[in-house]
Amino acid sequence: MRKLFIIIFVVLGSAVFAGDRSKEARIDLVGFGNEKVAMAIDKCSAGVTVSKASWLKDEIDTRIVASANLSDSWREYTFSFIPKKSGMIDFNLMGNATKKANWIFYDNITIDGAVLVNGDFEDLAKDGKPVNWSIVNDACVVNDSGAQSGKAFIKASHNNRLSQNFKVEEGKLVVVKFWAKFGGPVESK
Amino acid sequence: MIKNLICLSLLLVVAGYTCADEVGRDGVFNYNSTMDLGSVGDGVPGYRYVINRLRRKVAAADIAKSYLIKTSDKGKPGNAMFIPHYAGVNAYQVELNDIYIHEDCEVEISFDARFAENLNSEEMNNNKFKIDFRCMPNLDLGERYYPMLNGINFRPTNEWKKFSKRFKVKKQDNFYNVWITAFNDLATGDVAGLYVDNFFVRVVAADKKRDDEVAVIPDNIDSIYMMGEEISLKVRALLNSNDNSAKIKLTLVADHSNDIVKTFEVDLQKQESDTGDSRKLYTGMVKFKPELYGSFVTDTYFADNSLKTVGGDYVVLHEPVRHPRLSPGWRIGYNSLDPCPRGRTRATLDYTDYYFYQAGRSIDDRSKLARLAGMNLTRFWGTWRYIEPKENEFRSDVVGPFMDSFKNNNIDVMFIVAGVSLSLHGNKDKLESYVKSGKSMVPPYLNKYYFQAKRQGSIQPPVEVYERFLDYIIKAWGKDIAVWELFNEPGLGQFSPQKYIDYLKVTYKDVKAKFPEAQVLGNGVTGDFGMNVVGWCEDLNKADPNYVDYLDGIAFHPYAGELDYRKGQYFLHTQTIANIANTLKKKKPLWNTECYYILNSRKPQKNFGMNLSEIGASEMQRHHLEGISNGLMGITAITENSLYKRKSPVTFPAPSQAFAAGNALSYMLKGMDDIEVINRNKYIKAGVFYGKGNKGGVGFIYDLRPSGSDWDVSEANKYGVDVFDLYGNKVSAKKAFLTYEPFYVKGEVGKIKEFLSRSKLMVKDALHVNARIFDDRIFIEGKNLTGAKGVFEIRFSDVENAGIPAKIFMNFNADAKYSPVSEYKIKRPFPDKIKWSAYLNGDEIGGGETAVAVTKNTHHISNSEDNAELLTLSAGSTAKIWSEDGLLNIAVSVEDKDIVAAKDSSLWTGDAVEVFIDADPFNEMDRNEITNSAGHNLNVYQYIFPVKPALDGTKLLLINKITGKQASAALVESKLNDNGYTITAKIPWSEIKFTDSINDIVGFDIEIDKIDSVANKVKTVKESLGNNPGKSYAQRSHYKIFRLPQDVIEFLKKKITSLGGSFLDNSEFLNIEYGDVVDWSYAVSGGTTIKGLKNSDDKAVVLLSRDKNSDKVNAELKQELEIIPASVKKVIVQILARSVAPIVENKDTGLTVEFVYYTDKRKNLGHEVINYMFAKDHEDLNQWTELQYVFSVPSTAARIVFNAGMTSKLFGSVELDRISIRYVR
Repeated sequence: MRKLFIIIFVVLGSAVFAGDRSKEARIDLVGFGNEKVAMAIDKCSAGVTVSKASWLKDEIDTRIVASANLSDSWREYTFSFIPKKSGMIDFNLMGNATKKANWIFYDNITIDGAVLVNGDFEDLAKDGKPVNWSIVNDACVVNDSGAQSGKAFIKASHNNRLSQNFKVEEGKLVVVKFWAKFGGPVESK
Repeated sequence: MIKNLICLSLLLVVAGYTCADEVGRDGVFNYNSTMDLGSVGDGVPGYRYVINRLRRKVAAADIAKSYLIKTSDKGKPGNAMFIPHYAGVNAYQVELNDIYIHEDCEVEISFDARFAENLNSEEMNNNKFKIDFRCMPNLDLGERYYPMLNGINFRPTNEWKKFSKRFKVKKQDNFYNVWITAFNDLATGDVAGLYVDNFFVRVVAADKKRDDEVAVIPDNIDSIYMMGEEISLKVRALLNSNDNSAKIKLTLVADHSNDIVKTFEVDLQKQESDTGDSRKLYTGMVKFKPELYGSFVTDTYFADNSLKTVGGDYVVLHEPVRHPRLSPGWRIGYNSLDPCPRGRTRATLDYTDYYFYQAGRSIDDRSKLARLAGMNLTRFWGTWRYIEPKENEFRSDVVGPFMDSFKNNNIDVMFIVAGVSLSLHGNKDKLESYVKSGKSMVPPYLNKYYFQAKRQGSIQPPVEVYERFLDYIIKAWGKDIAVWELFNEPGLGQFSPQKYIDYLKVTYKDVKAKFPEAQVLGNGVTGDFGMNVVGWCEDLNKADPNYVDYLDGIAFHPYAGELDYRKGQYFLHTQTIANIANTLKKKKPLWNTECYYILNSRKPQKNFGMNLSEIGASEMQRHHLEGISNGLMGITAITENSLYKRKSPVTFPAPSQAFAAGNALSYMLKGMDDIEVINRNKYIKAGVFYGKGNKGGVGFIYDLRPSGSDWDVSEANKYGVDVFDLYGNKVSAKKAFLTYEPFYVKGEVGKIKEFLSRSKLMVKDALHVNARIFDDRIFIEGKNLTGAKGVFEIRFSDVENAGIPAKIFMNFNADAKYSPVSEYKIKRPFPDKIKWSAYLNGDEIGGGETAVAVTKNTHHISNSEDNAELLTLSAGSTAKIWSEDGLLNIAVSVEDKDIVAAKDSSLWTGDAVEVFIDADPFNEMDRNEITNSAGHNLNVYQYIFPVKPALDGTKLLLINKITGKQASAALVESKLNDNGYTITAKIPWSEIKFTDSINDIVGFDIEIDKIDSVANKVKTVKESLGNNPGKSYAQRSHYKIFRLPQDVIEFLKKKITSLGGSFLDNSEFLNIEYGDVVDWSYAVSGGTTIKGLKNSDDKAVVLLSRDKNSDKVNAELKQELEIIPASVKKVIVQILARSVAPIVENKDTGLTVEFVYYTDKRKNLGHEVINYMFAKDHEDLNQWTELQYVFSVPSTAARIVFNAGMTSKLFGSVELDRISIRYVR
């Protein structure tokens, strides 16, 4: 016997459950320029969620946000998207905006379908900053034995970011692979 | 002023089809404002007296004393309400009738008052008075408690003094209450006597001419009669008449069915008394002997107009039966009200020093009446503080009078040792502030046993302390207690399961040692507050699964699972009982010890406690019959309040349907010892009660299918049985309509069984399907014939290639009569008839064939006059219709040389052109009449453009058939020519408000009113575009169907005022970019896919997929909607979906739709989720299926975040073809 039931839950005044978002990696891809590149989300690996930027109203597909649940050890994550037009994408390594700020460690980032330079952060300038990356606030390279590959990796958070621009082509699938782990609380100054 | 008048006119429209507790033409909400409807010395019709604090010692001295407010002749002028000074009454409230306000307006409360005896200034100061004006919420709409809470403090003197205040009030779904409240500042002080007169709750600026009104006052102040006893109904009417006598019609109506059972013509004689207004007082009397058992109301009519009537409610009862303990009849019981006014007492007073007298009735009368209502058992809360206020200091004087009263009236007692469970939300600090508030039910000395759990805490005294308390109860009242329960709902909060078991063990041991026959109940699980009803049972099992060795039965509260039919859901009651029983290591009988809220099947109550405890007769009986059929040994479910009507009384509140139904059920079960359930069909509930050593029995039967069935009872004689209705009236007809109302069968047990098993039942049609084709589209809707809300599944046959889905789940929760209209593009050839079957929970309940109506000769509204079609009306006049610059243009040319102007705004009495626009021609498509007697009118606009302005200057009239006359910004130009005239009218499209959806189709008619004066006589000739001249104001089926230009539709969709809310963008998923579903927000997680694509049928769809290893998040689409606060009541969502890969069922899985509501300031108002669940076997869902959902929108919501998709527990793939929304205003 096939049955169809209807269940109605009315839970007023409660918030929708969410996990600990302060321990998530977050990579924002932002189309920029006069004609912003819009993106179509393709898919992602387990533990990753990629969403459109619903707060941008009419431009919700010009920014996609990939977040990943992290553990204390390095793990590889992937996601992919298709640019709806050719142009430039701003690629941001960061964390979520939460009350409790945490460091997110990133390493060994590779992209198929576009060119990302120095994704393993091994190429450093004299001032110790990673070549080809722009840095906001206190995001920085960590140079110790804890890297996932090579010697260096970077730490970032919501307010301490690294970013890099790269070109994309309309309709050409872009696959992003990155390694990340939870890096502990951001020290207060 | 204008605003107020509009408000009143809107209220009048509403008042025409709703209950009597709404505003009359005179704008007065309450009954008996002038107090002249009461007889001097009797009660005060329309006002209920509630004693919030009666000094306990005074009450205990005479537990048979009741208290009443009275009608006095010391009014200003005429009669007044007299609230006597009663010794011991420290606080009271006088409650007016429930008031429904459906439009925002300004209300004035005004009255005259004076002290009944001369008081000095100190005494006056000690007496505090206030008018309390509040509104009760409908919690389904997300309203906060008391959406309006206001009042007037007033200080009466020894002379008459007038008091008044105006209030801006908002329309509300639930009722407003007005109370006169009073208390004495001194703990031992009494409230002084008071006279009140001219009490008005009225719309400001209403018509001052008072409506007629009537009080019908039964001679029995309790409104209770036994069969054979004569009933006298005193009639007192205030009529706008000067005749010496008047005749009114008085009908007696069975209030469970609305059937008129008797009609009288009553002669009334005018009385010489000053009523304070132009109405005269008329009095008369009706006397009769009742012929039917049951619960009745009285309606009155004067010159065929329904009169505002207070009173006239009464019940006719069977002799009460004292049933042997544990027999089925004994199992009918109730919860006694809390004796003391906790929550009605200031912290400076000890509330245990007072009793609370609901409706002023004495303790003894309350028990006496409960017995008449068939109650053999009461659940009494033995609150710890009432018995042991200080450590090791015990008293019997709080509880004692009640125990005496139960005993005096042969009511057995189920005693809750300690009363409330000792759990508290919060921590010890909160507990202490709670104790300080004076409301605690726990003696302060127990606070030291506070135990803090994670989020909540509880008081868990040592077992010795509990046993000492128990020992006192055993000694004081043990022999009078039939059933023992300990702590109410101990599973709420953080009560320790092990500790509870420790208390249970000692209770069982001590009680059974003294009273082996007594029943000890454990558990006390509840479904209240949406709790998992078996959770507490599982917690007890974890602590010690052998706890069941220390009890005789399991107490439970089946909130939200109280009936086997509940708002479209089936068998929740039976399932709840089975779920609890299945947790028990050893089989033990269950006892339903509390369930105050029972949802009525036909007209579910609004979601608020006071509404939910007003229980229908059928629900009262089914609740008990289902319980007993499922083995329950006792049912003290309802609260004592449910035995009385909330409706305004004439003296004491009248007994309710539940009262009469309890009496009848108890009577039916006389001599019965046990039950055998008859399994005929899962929707047909039947059984037979039998007595040991007694051949005679009583059967019962009812049908839970919403359409019910025709039951052939013609063979009752053959079986030698008699059939009775739910109140015990013998049924002599050959056929009975079997539905939610139980019938009873008396005779020999074997014959009853045969009769109930074999008599014929013919299921009635549950619904019809309407279908109409317009161009290449079909519109389909369901018409529900059952009167009950719910969802029916309609399966269509042989439509694979016709363009309509295989199934529609038609939802009748927004409108119980018509489902939302579904629209599809058809594929030709389309059949002339479509076959369908209706299903409920997968069971077929009916079916039929629908002839598809086809709209021929459709017209298009063009974009310019040049392109407009020239239309010819029935008598040769011509018209053109086109749309330009947001205006609908109508140009009409008429031959008529005799132009007559109307005298006033009745423009149709002069030469005029009338334009009718049916904004929703395919809603309720089988309906021709625009208005109906129920006041449910169609959304038709009637514009009247006169050739010449009326003599009073009126140039234009717009009437909407729902909202009435309204202002219009339409422009009209009239030109006379040699043959007659031309009129060009320009109607702003923005004036047309669509009911729930903006379609591209309107019904349209033009009527010409030709008025000619022939020999000083007016001759009217009507001409029309449709084929029914002169009828377009009342009927709409003949209207021509016009299609709107696309730019008009786009214009309307952009204006949220057209519907009350914004539209979904890309709702048909036609806009897809590289797989991205444009305009929709969504998130993709590991293992899930959300893609826009063309499917194998070349249809634009969204494919949602989740594999078994997917992350545990929903795969859903999201979009934000903007709505105008308070303008949208419900939102209907229609989704066309099918599964394309196996669907795996898990608990709580399904295709989900969620609404999250926000205010304009982004405050979260909560969310509502509806899941349609897929079965494991998905075969029938791989065909296209339309799912319809109905959401209730909080009145303050300004934004809705709308989510739709697969829940995190659903695996497989689903295609969505389109999502559409409709707003219900």
